[in-house]
Amino acid sequence: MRHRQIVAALALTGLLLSIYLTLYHYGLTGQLACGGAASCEKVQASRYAVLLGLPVAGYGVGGYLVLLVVALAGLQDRWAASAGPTRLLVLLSAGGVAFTIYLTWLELFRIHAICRWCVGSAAIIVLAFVASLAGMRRS
Amino acid sequence: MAGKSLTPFYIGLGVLAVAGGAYIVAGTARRGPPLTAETTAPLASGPRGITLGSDSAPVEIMEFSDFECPWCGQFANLQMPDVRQRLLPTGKVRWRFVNFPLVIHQKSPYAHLAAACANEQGRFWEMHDLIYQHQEEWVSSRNPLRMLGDLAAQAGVDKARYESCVSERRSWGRVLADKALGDSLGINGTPTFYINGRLWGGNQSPTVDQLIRIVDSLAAGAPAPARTRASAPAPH
Repeated sequence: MRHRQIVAALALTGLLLSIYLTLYHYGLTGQLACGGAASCEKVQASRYAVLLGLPVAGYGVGGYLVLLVVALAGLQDRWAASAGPTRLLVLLSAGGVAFTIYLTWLELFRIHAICRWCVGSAAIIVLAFVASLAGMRRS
Repeated sequence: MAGKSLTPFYIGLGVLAVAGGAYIVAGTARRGPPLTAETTAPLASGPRGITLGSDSAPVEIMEFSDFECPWCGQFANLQMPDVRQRLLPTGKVRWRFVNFPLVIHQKSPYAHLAAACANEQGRFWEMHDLIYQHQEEWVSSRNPLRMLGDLAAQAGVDKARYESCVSERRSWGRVLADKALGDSLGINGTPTFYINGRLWGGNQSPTVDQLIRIVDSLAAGAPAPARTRASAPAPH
């Protein structure tokens, strides 16, 4: 149960972060807070910031939202004793980690700039995966 | 039972949601002034972009660029002087700068408007260079219009005419016409280059040495180089 709470908190953080970056992509928020560095801008303005017509951050919104819903559902009495939600969390976060690896590869070897918001998201999804995995081993 | 023991967790989650939401809302409140890449105006007629080099050159390089984009600044500051020194004097190439302010940049539209207004007075390229050389300053400025006005004065424009152009947004339709061309080509990042109608497919902006090789081969009537992909934008 504890791991589902951790994943829910991480997913909510990732969701907020992704919403912020998505709003930025559509010009709905001010300048991106990046500690004075231009690297966030470089990543967000690159051609890789859009995938199949949608901003990459938009996929984060969807992914984290699903993760949050599953984690919260797993905390309800109906699902609390079931291993199903934890397995699903492992699967979803593993997919997120794989996508993050691809995005980090793009940043390092194609865009040549690292966005600290993307690093934050990468840390969140890796931690969510580790927490889910730990939960699966315990159950 | 589970609901009761989870109460502190839900409260913590709620606090996180409210704090994060407040940060995002504060960010939207920090939006720039009302001119945006989506501000509408009648599209200007005539050719798209601003050219440099011979009108009869056999090769045209079209650059879709955003004044606030760091990559574009890097290209303008590092490669463009070489383009002018080594490529344009050959007479084989014409450079076409096409305005493409990205919607993610709040201050970029002002720079594009400022450059278009400088262009009214034949000072586009001077303004182009100054905007990119001082990119970090006007982008981080709370009042970019004032700083862009100072740059326009340095570029040698008549200040009164420039100011009226900016305040009336007289040349904005020209910027939008350029952007419409980029949109029609599906461009979503900057800088994007087309060389004689073919998209430059490299992951990085081309270097001058690469451009020279491509221009030489195209001018000699050789087949399209490997790093360009077929496409056919029309500059008007």
